[in-house]
Amino acid sequence: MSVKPLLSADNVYVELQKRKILRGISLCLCKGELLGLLGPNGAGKSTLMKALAQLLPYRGEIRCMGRSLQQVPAIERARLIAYLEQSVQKGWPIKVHDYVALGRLPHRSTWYRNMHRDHDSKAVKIAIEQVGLGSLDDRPVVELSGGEFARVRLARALAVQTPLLLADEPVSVLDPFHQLQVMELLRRLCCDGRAGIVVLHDLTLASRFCDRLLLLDKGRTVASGIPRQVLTPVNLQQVYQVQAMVGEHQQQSYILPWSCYSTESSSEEKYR
Amino acid sequence: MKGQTVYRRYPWLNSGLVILLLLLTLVSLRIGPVSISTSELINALVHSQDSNQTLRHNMILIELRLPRLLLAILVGGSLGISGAALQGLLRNPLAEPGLIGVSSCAGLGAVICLYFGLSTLSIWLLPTMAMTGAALATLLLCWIGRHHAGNLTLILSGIALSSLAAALTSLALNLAPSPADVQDMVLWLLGSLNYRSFNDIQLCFPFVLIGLILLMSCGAKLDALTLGEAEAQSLGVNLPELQRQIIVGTALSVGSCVAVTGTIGFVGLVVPHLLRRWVDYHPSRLLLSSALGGAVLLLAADIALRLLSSTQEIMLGVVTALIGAPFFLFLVLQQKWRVP
Repeated sequence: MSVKPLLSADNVYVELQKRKILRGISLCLCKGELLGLLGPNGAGKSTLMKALAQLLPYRGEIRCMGRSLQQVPAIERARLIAYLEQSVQKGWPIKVHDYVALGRLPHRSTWYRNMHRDHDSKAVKIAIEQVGLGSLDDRPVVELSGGEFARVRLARALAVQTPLLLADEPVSVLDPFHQLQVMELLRRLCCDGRAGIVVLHDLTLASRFCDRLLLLDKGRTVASGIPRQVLTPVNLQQVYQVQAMVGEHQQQSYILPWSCYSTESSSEEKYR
Repeated sequence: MKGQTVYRRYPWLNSGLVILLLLLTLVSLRIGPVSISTSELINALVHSQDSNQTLRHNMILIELRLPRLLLAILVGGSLGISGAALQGLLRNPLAEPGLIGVSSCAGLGAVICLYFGLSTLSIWLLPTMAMTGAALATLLLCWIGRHHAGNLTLILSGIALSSLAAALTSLALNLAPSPADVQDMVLWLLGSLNYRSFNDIQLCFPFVLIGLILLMSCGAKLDALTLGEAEAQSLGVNLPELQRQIIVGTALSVGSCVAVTGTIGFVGLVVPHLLRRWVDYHPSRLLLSSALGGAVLLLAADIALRLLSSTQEIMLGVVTALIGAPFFLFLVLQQKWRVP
């Protein structure tokens, strides 16, 4: 295929407080693809997401539609990439609708003009409906539960209507129904021509909904490719140190972490 | 439909504040040792040369009451909007201009000027020194902002700076050559609008204006900061630039006001907090409302102290602190939001 990648990262290194967090990560994302970013705690997933969103200094090259992202002005970049942080505090008790509407800020012609345009309010309405929050429209965000607030934040990121969405653990605090709902939504958005990178801890969701996976450990890529190639028992043992139960239901595989893999000192040292 | 309920309350609030401000303006011009009725007021301002009495009223208005009124509006507005902007930037309802050390550094500049008796050389020197103090504090904070981007670092640096300025001010008071100098410094530090002229207004007005424009223009970026620093940046907000804009805006408007009136605390803290719920907690909408609200509050406080004072005038800074400090304590105890 001669499709020009929407986003590509080439040998990205990040160092924070003199600690090497990422050691040469490369990836490539085409239109319509959903890429799952996996790895144990502290593997560098969130750092990679931040580097891709240009929120951290990094070495290496990150390109969006062929252009180096460091050269793209901030406001233009905001219209290309929506970024959802892992967790944030709720801040001021503004209403759900207004919170989601903040996602439209990059589309205003100037920073000083108010937005009343139909297009903006339509985008906000669609985003709120997509995450199933229509009934909470008028509630202050501080009154929401953790899971509801997580969906409001996702709606805010969706309201920007960018070709690319970077979502850092969008489902980890959601109940099973909403986990599935959000993953189906992301899958559908990508089928409609957008693309996304999503950090996940749920291996079954990753395997079912993502086109490709990138498995990180200690700042390095351990495996990358289609879910079946990445989520092998060996990888799960070595990276996550778990033994998993793998099965199949309706022609889709599920992976259930079952027991801790005994970590002998020798195998630990091997991966340090 | 829901959007409409949001937008309805907000313009009413501002119109209400403007009407209140106009009413207080009228009261402020009328009351004093010489009471002037509304018709006399109009006469004195329009036909100043007609009779002896209108001439006298015109003198009182131009020399005393109008500068005082305008200064109250400028200072109150500056403190209100700066408080709102800083609270938006730091996402903390406890922030105010005094917190980042701008007010206390301006005060220090003025005290140094009084200490060395420089104020006798030129009347312009005292405000100039105060503004220099505010500018130096600003430069330091900008430098800190550039090298350590976090907002928490900025708050803590501001507190350190403010404490240092307070300590140096105390040192100047401690070592003052004569009791008269101490009295000068203390009275100046307490803050007052009394005996100010149009010269003072001329001195601070351009700086206040630039400061207000800088602060007014950062509304949408402050809204974006509601999402947290990282997501705001992902929406195209340049955080260091926003920090600089707000610090410079605050220093210009508050620093130049402090230079003319002395330190007046707590307006920047109380006003945004009182108005926040009326603008549905939107940092951008709070800016204009807080400027108006600050002007209303300071003018009302000034009118109150003029009515209450008999021979010895109560200082304005004392009145605002008397109202503000218990309110501050109440806020701390009630606080729902933590430092981001």
